[in-house]
Amino acid sequence: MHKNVLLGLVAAALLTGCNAARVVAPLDAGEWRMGGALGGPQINTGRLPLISVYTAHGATEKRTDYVGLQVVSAAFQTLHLDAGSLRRIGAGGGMGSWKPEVNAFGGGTLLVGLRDGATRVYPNAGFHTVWTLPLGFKPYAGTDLWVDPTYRLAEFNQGTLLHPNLHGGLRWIWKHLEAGVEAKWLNPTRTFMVPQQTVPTFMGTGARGLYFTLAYRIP
Amino acid sequence: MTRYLNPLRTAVAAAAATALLLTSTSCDVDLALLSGSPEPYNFPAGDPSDPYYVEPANIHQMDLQSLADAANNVPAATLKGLYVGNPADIATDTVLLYLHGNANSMNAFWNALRQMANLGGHHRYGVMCYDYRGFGNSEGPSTGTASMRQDLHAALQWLKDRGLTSDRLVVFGNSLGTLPGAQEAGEQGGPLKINKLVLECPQSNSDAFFQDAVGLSVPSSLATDYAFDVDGNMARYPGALLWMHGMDDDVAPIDNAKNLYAAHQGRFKRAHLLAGVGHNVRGGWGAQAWGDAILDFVARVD
Repeated sequence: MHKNVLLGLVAAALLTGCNAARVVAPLDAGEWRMGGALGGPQINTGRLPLISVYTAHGATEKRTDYVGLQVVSAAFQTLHLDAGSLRRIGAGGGMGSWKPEVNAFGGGTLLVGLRDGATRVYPNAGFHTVWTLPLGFKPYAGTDLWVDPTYRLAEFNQGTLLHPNLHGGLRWIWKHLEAGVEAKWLNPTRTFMVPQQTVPTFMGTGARGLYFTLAYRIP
Repeated sequence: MTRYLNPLRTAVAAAAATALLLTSTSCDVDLALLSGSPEPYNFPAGDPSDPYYVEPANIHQMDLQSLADAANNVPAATLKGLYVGNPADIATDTVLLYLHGNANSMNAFWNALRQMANLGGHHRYGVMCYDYRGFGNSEGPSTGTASMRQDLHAALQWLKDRGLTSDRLVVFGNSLGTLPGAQEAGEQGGPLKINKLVLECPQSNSDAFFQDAVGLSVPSSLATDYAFDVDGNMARYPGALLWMHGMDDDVAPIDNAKNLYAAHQGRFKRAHLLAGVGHNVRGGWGAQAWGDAILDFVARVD
């Protein structure tokens, strides 16, 4: 990696949707889940080690609320929080069925720079389609749409209102643990430019992210 | 274990850890943007048959004293500088001051420097270069606009002390070097005024630089306190401008840089927008064409 990888690191931390899904299916009612995610977009031939932590709470059988903190951004003097709520909108066909459970989520990301108080809020919404397999495995796929309400503040009118992401992954949920891996196609509507770095694309646009998650379940 | 992971207790601990992280760390991407590496300097004279051959007696290395700027928390520092030419002729020569790009040290720019010295004739021009704080063997680190300003002023003072006047000074900024070069051209607060400025593959401003990497309307202050503004400085700069930029530049996008050229309303400007050329303008365009463009600019504005 070249020395400008530091720029890539912080840029990636703030990149649209640059995180694994906090939860993909509602938790049990009353359950808490606390965990972290490690991973990020590919820069050159390596992957940036972004770290975030989160907690989620099963408010009801169908709804789970979550909040997360991007640790790398905090190291750069930026408070970077995400929060949202996930709700089951379509029941799946059960164990081994091809009919997936469908869960919608909505929330937002808050960025507050401690250098000058600069603040940005980016609402987002999307859904996960989740299948249930034996032994606690849950493959899933979905999309996540970020909204940039302040896109007109971008330099040279280069901002855009909508920033989509596509993702797919696998969660393994056991008695006290949840582990997962998620691949993400970050913002296929644009090209990212990190000086003196190469940001590999998928089909010529966006960026490619890979994340690992681990969480502890508290009934 | 569950009783130790009480959600409320964990949330409080997480908040405390976050507060500690926010208040105890001060990472800044300028650590990466503004840092080179120490290395032995190597400025070979070359073969006498080489068109860019320089006389060994005309290769001078010196220390520059970059002054403190207490108001901006910039301490004094000793920089390493290079002069190609006879320092005794500075009182009468035209001098090109080369502000180098992001590399370990000025070693990486030696071929450009020795070509500049020989533009239009053997050792026709004096050429000066120096390593910013944190680059090469200069003391460091560079920390942003204030430290870069002090370093440039140190070089200008060294030239002024040997008799250079503003009318014989040409400042050449390459990539990273366009940031202090444009800043001084806009401010005109140094020992010598800048009336002739060359910007080679310049950046535009720190917000655009950061937004290209992130994709959102985020300000650069979320990652750095190095708030450079080449566009704004070009709007204030009254002198002559030569802009050279590869149209395939994937480090400093040409579409962003077009704004600084449009903003410049000084006495003269010329642009070379080069199809098929990336961030390495001299290598992509060809050394001969690159040198001819600089020579033409210096002659025209004189």
